[in-house]
Amino acid sequence: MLQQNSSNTSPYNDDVVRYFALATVFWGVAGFLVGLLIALQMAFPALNFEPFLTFGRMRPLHTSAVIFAFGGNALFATSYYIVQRTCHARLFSDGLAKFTFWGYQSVILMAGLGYLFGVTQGKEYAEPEWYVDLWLTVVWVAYLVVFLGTVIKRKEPHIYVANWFFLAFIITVAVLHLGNGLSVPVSLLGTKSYTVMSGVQSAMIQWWYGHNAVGFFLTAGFLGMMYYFIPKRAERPVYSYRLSILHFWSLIFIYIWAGPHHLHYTALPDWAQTLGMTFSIMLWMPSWGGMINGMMTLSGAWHKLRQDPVLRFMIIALAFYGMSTFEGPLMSIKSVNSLSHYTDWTIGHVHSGALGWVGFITFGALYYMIPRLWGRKEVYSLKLVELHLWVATLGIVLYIVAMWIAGIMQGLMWRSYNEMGFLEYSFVETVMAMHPYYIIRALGGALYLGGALVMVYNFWRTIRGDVAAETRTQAVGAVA
Amino acid sequence: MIDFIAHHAGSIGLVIFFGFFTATACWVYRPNSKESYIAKANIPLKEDTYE
Repeated sequence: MLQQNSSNTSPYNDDVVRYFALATVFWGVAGFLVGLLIALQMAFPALNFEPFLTFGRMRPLHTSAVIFAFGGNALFATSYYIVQRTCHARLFSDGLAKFTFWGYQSVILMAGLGYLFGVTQGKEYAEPEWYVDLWLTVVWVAYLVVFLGTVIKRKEPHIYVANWFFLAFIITVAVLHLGNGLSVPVSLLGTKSYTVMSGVQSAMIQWWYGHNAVGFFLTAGFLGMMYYFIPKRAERPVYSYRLSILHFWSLIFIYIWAGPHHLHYTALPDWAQTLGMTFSIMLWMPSWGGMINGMMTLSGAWHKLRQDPVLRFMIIALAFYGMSTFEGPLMSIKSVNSLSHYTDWTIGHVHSGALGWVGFITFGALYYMIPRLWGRKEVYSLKLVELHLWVATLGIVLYIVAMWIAGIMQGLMWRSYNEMGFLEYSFVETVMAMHPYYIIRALGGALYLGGALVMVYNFWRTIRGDVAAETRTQAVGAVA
Repeated sequence: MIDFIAHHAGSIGLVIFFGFFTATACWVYRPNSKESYIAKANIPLKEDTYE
């Protein structure tokens, strides 16, 4: 199935892109499903099944599945797709590209199975133990060689801005992974290891890594997608190429300093906290510069937004990007953070970025790429794309609104004192108050998963070569 | 030397970052560069296949 059609005529290595695209869809559904399960566990604690399926083990399974498996495969697929087409060169080394596919899937499997069996470093977003870390390093170096090798042998003199973002993502993630992964195994054949750093240094390294996982894994790479797929789908060049260069350099220079905002009011020196806060606020500008650049690409062609649900996915992604990159700087301000930190507001913030920005720009990219990768003119049904769009958008709105209310309520309950100076609420009372919002959140997650299943059906029919009646008439209408 | 840097880390950082930003901004908006940026922006819109 993977070999048919355009693969023989295309000068590019699209085989590996097809593999990564299908893996993106597969891991997306798996990650959303585990997310829904843990949301239900929060609402109904009886759904925790000891020891393998408890929240503590399922939560890293969810985060890793959506960030590294869904997001990671999407980044591999789109970076390989884009770098070939903007460099006018075939991928460097088919064999090494194939190795990155199987190598990366094995990292995912080793990590995920490890979590369920209780093998973890306990470092957020970097839970895999030392042997998986080492293997990932090998795979990542291969990724860099394939990507950079393709850029080096390019026929197009200029390196298009999307590739800059991808390259920054690959290099920075390598540096972060090496810095944060430094650990000493207890024994050569055992799984357990301890990190080299300890205390507040360890915390700072962890959040230097953690926040830049957001900044470079979930932002820079996905901005690379944005800079290619929005111009492609809108059939117009990006609004301002000059702004894209300013966007790139300011974003990568500022992001790397924002990590300390995860450690407000901790043992971290005050100046470092203020530094993290300041850079987080500055980050608002390049983020919105990029968002505006993407949206204004439609300038003079706004009608396309009304007609094309795929383009709408990408533009709504940018709207969520703009919203969460405004919310993030706001939450990094110490006095706001004293209310929001450790509450569900943070979870809501992450998901407006993850479901809205990362998810939607990926869906848009997949709806663009998959028909082309299998030699089809368009997806099976644009109506189903439209259905996916609205079901998923409704899911996100339910999710983030529930978490805003829950989080702010939680924060206010935690800090309220009575006239005697005692805490007004016990912890379990704050947990009980969350119950209705946890159910609404789970409903939002179910809708998001439902939308993804509609996408799976649509891709299955697309790859099979079916064309829905409504798409056929639209095509005829366009010709007429 | 190290004491000077430590005491003025904030200002030094400010000069480096603001200097880099200003230099980048001046570079991309340099005169007579508009055409070349329009050409670069059109790279994705060229044919999907080479040769």
